[in-house]
Amino acid sequence: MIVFDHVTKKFGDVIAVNDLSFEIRDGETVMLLGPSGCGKTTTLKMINRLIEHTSGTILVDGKDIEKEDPVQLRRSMGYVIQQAGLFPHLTVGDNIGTVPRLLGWKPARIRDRIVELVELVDLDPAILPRLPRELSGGQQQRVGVARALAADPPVMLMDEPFGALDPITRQRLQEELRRLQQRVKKTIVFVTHDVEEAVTLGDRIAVLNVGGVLEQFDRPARILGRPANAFVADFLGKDRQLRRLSLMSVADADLLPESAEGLPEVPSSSNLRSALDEMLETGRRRLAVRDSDGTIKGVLTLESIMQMSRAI
Amino acid sequence: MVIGVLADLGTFWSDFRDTVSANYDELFTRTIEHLSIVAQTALISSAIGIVLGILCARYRERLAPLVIGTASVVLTLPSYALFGYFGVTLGYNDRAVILALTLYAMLPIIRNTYVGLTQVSPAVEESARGMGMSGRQILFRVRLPIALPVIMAGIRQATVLNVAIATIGAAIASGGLGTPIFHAIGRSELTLLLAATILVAAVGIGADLILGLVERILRERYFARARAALLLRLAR
Amino acid sequence: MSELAALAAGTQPRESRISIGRLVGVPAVIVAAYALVGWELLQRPLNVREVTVLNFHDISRAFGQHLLLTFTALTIALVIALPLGVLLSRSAGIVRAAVFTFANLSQAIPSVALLGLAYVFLGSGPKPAIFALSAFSVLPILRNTVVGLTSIDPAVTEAARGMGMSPLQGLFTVELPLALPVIFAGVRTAVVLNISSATLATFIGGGGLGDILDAGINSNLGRVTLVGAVLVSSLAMFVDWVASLIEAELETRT
Repeated sequence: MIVFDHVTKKFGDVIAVNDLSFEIRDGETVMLLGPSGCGKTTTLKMINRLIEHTSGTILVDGKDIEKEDPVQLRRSMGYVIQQAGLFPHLTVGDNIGTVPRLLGWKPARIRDRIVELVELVDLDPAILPRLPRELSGGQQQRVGVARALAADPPVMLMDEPFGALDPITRQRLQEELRRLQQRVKKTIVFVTHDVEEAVTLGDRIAVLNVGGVLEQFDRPARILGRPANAFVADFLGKDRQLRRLSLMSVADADLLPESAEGLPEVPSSSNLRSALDEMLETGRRRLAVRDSDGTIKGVLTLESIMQMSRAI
Repeated sequence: MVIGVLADLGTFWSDFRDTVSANYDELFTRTIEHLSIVAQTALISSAIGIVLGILCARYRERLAPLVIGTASVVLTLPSYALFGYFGVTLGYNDRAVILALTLYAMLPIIRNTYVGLTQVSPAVEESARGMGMSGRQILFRVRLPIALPVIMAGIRQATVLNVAIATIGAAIASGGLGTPIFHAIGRSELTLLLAATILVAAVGIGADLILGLVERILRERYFARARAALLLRLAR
Repeated sequence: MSELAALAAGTQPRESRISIGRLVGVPAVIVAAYALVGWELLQRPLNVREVTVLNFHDISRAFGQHLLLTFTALTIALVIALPLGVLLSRSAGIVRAAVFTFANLSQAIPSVALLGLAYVFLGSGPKPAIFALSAFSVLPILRNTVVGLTSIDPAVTEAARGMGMSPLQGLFTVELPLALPVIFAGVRTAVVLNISSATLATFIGGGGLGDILDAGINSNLGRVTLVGAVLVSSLAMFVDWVASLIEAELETRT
């Protein structure tokens, strides 16, 4: 869906993005992850031509974006930024309906779409006639997301949208985005510097180094399991293995068909990290795994968890 | 054609110089008069304005909106009308001009004094009170010195304004650079008009620069003092 | 005169909330002023000399001329200053600084001098007066337009661009509406400035309420002067009052 072919961006003599090549598939969520100065936001903004690339080619849906009218290009993509950028003089409803209005939709269709979106981002429709300044940070961000989704664009560009929110709200919105991803199949490019966020939301993660160098581009589990180099390993941080465990399900582990008597329980739907946490909590090396239908599937041992961790 | 324009400019310039030298004494006197009027106004309006500003800061709820509101409405009045009014009631003399100018200067000075005093950080006031200073001591030793640059900015604004408005005062009482301007208009004399205009502009810009300098010095002084005090406290 | 208002508005934020005092006070003062004048004129009716100036025909003509001068100049200033302000707000800082330095310096020229210059080059009458008045009132509008546009939250303009608004669409649907309160404050300053400067138009034969003041002062007819003063002052106060109400209303919208 989105192809970067040897794309470079220079600001004067400073190389912000260095010979970047990768491909984002239709319907997948790719996280652009890296420290400050790695060019992740620049890369994002090159996709909708808010920043023009210096050399190389960027294709969206097979078409060279250089040849397209930037204004039209942007109307075909949803764009969400950290501060939301809601128009303070328009109501929530009018904010959301901005792009449909630009595209000339009929008023009735716009109204229906707005109601649909408000429900999609889990907001009370009573919020529609309000002004942005009356909303909390979390609500504003939801409106920002709804606004970006309004014209149903195939591509969504998100630049650290949850960065300015408190941890609890951020977590809630991340969960909702995940829910959204399942309901609405879109190609999402998401910029973040938070490893946890990248692992939670991404189908694939592009780890960028300072100067716009792509260090690794792979699924979260593989990046966590096999960091390509010291930089990636360092950036992922100390809890790397624990994070990997959170991506693996208890149901996939080798369970011993032994007696589960007297053992603390863990649902088969939970992940290995929670299971390990339960072992530490109870001080036992074995847990009974209970399935959603109520039966005991087997016994999970600490050794089994460690074995899973070894596997890639 | 270019030569024609240059020649015109040449004659114009010599005309100009002739006018200036012919009227040199007059222009000089008027400039001094103008400065005198503006200076007198500045002194009187500063005295009254600062006092009123202090009172406004003291009685914030009731007095401030009334006084500042009235002063800002006074500002909207056309100066010619105000001069006319005072001319009738007080006589067509310098005093009327200065009184009218003083009224115009009220808003910038009162407002700036009020803002300057009320923006003093509460932490500063609290430590002053904690040291055992009385209200009046706090006012004169702490708040006013801190507010001084802002007050100065107000005086500067008012003065620059008055330099321009004082020219209209010549309509009711001869004096200041307004007089040659009116003469020049009456006789359609471009060179005299330009000469007087340039002088007024120069006085205005000069006043702005000089008072701006004073303002800056006051600011530096405050910051230098504050920095020194802070360093002293840290050193302990 | 309202060069004061101009400078004052330019360097300090404008008080936008309308207190009850202002809402009621200003009209009350205007009414009281007219009441006093009316009382005085009833006590001692106009004598022959006064009537030559203070009669309905002449007063209404002067009033009409004054309004014409004021609002024509305002319109011209708007047409010049608004687009110029939009352009400047998108220009580099150096260009802006240069234009504003020049503009601020020209504020040091008193309005009567500018009228005089217009007279010398363009003759007498309303047209030179309008020319001078327009030139004078461009600055407040220009300055406030630039300030208003450049003080918009950059996140909002980025979001507008990012979602595919063309520059013109962004300007009209987002930037101008948001900058409107500040711009209008500049317009308010400009119109009050114009009313004041228009009183001076009498010196170059431009007409307006200054004629009445001038007649009173030159012929030493005190009451004529006072009536002239009340007329033009009340006009200025009234227009400023209406503008302050509009401004307060605009402020609540954003």
